Amino acid sequence: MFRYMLWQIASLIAVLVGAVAVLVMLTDLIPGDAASVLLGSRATPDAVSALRHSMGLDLPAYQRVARFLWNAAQGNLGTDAISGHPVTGTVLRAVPNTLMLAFGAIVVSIGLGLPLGVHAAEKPGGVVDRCTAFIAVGLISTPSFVIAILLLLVFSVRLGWTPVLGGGEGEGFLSRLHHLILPVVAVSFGWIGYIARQVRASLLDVLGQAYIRTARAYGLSNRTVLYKYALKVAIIPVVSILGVGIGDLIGKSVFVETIFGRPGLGALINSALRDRNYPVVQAGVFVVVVLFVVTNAVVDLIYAWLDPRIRERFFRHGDQ
Amino acid sequence: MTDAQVIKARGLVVRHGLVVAVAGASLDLVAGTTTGLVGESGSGKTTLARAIMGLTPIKSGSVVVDGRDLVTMTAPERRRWLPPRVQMIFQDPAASLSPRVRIGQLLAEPLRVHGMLDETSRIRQLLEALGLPFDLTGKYPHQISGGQARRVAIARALVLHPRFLIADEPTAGLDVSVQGDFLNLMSSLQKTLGLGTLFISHNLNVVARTTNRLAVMYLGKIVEEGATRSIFAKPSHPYTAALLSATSEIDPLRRKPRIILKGDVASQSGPPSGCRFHTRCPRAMPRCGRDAPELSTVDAVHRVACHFPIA
Amino acid sequence: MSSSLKSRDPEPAKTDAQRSALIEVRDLSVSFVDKHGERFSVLRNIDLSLQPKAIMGVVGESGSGKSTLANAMMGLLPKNAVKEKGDIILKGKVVDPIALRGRALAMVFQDPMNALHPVMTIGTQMVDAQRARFPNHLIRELRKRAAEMLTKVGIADPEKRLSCYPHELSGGMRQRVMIAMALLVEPDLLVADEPTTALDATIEAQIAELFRASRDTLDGATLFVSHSLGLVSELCDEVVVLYAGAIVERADVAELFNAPRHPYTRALIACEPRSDDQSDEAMVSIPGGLPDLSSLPAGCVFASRCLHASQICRQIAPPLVTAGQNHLAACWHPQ
Repeated sequence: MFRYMLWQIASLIAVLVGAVAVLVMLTDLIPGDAASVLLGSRATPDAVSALRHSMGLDLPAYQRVARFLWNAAQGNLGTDAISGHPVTGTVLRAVPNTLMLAFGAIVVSIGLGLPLGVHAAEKPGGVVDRCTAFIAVGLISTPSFVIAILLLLVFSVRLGWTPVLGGGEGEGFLSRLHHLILPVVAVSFGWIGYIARQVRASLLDVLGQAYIRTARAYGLSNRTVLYKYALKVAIIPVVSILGVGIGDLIGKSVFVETIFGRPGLGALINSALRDRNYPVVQAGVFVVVVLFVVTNAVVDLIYAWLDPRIRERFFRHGDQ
Repeated sequence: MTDAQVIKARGLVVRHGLVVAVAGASLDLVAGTTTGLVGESGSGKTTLARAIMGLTPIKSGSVVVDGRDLVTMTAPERRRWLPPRVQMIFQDPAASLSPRVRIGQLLAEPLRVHGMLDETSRIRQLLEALGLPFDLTGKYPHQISGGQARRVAIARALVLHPRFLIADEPTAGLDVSVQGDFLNLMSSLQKTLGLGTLFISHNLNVVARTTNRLAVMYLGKIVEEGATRSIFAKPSHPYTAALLSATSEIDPLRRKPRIILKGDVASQSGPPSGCRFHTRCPRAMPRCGRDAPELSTVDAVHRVACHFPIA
Repeated sequence: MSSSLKSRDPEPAKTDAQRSALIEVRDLSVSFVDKHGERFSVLRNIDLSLQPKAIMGVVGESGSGKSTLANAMMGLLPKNAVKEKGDIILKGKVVDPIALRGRALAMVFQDPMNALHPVMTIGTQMVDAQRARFPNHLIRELRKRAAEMLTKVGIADPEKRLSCYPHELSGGMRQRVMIAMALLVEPDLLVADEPTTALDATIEAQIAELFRASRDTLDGATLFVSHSLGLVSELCDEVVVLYAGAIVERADVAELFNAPRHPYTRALIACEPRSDDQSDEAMVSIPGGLPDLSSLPAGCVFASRCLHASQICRQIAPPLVTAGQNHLAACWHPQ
């Protein structure tokens, strides 16, 4: 287990360092010097170089990477280039909104996808089976912002059932939930079908396995066989798909937030990009990467928890 | 005996990660004789065969084929040196035929690679020896019967006229009603071509019928080795004795009292100290847990690795 | 196939054993339907009767239908199988095997590697296996029974083993667990489908020994399906020989192996290599192959491979008739 944790943490750090390096490099690649862009065309060379110095842009790339990481480790994600406030507070205020959306989408995707998939596997070729197949094929490829705009037009503008903009900040919990409905649906729509298809496929595979036949040979009820024996194994590949898909979910959340005007990380990064407020962009993207890496690690843990064979591989010393 | 007529494996060690699959095994394959190799899962018999074929890296020891040690060769050298000399057929040989290649091409390919001429006459001869019609060459593997496919797989192994053939469980999955046919073919080929065959099998009755010499492996080591007849008549190693007694016999008069071993084969990654069999051995003494026995002579045709062999 | 049905004796010959049977199979026929809708006759007119505590061996090669017979008796036929006709009779009453699984019926499978659930502990699975049989017992009691049974099948430290996952046990151990599971149910019929085929020789010997010893624990009958004549001859009381879905011969074990009447049984025994036979003579095999199961020949299914086949063999399927003391054979020219 220790070995496993160590490995997890090492790969976590490697991904973070890599991501920060790419971020820093991107700032370099953007046409025009960040400092002179910020200060406008009439800034004096002295002012530009002073800003460059204070933003650390005069340092070599690797030093900037190290500095950023060092500061980040101490909770300092940089200084807002426009307002001069620390970025950390701004970013942290945006995080809950994004997390609510992303986790809401995960919960909805699994909460609906799993039972639909089980049902589809129980009756292959049935109505549920065909519907999920249609949703999966038709909607996983439709960009979520298209769905978002459609939902917005229908439910908020025409029907007026849901709020048009914002995250219900400063209002009660129910209002926040109300604001969450459409964005969550937009993000998770394709995923519901996709998860249902994956659950169906892996469940059908598992139902053909010898140990399921054993369970039946001992008179276990169909319910027990399906929900206790088959689903335990069928869920494993679905979890690993989720691990890969979390990046997609977070990415979609960022897009959808912008459309719904939710004050989350997506909206923050988007407006900072427009203002060329690079420290905020950097910090925002960094936090997204951290979220991604952490959720992936959690998925790996769930994976190991579900399958004792994998657990064993980490517990013991890489024997074979 | 010339170099060409023998494969000598000496002190072979093969490791897969932490697992020592073959822990110092020596074996001779001689042209014109069939050597049986028996042992249970984890005994390393397949790994030993693969090492002789250059299919798995050798940690230490040597395999001398036709005068040259495989261990000292580079991979491309081995690919040139081995195929005309040693070939291997696998469990379910028919499955190893590539489905999109005609039988004729399948057989001509190795000849071309190794620059051998008059392909057609060689292939014709070989198919005849195997009792296959020549017009099979125009067909794809799925167009021929399972029995024919098995023969084609053998034909492909023999098309370069190797002196040695390694057969890894070639009768596994065959029904007994057709097994005899296949074994008759193997033994007639062995005689007419003077092949030296290594025959790996878990079916001891088949091994008794088809081999001249026999090596018994347990946990990566050869524990007994000698003339098949001699070993079956009077096994010296307690493991061999148990293995032989475990085969079922239809005829009650022929049944030997069964020796039931306790427990399972120990783990390859942490084999027992001393004699690797001592944890299951009905004859084990304190010494067996300390010293590993070496193969020593029982008689002119028979060697055993046991401190207290069955007299 | 229809002609072979018509030509059959309407009242199958009854042996003494059949009258005091614990469990019977009466006139069972099963077909498989492939995805093109073609029917393959896998079992035809199977009659069996098993006595309490007796082990009945079923031998045959691939395509003989022996595993289908085992699955049919458990109500575990695959989806593409059709039961054409026939009954399973337990203690004189026609029963639905599906309703009896885990109560009167239990099974041990060929491949112990895959027959146990990979991510559930042995204990959970052994407890679940007893639920149908003992619905009113507490889990604690079922677990205690499981531990006791593990000891009986030769697994040391049973409490620890119960919390193991299958991959932590060896193949031989897993098969012991499967057998323990079957014995826990105290079934009237234990079906064992090639239970030693996937095991190494010395482990096979241990498991065969365990089946022999299981008679002390088990009052029900055992159906032991195997392709190994040797194993069946050592373990079973009575033997059924299947060929292409039909019983060709059935007799007490000594009788069957000492005086086989059907040419197929004789040939099968002759094919079995013997360890003390080191002659240079060619080994015996049976030329030819199984008949096409989708359009069976009119006569005897073995006729095309039989050295003794005559005109009548190719035209009319021979009925299974008495060929000695407690001995039936389906052959026009019994040897």
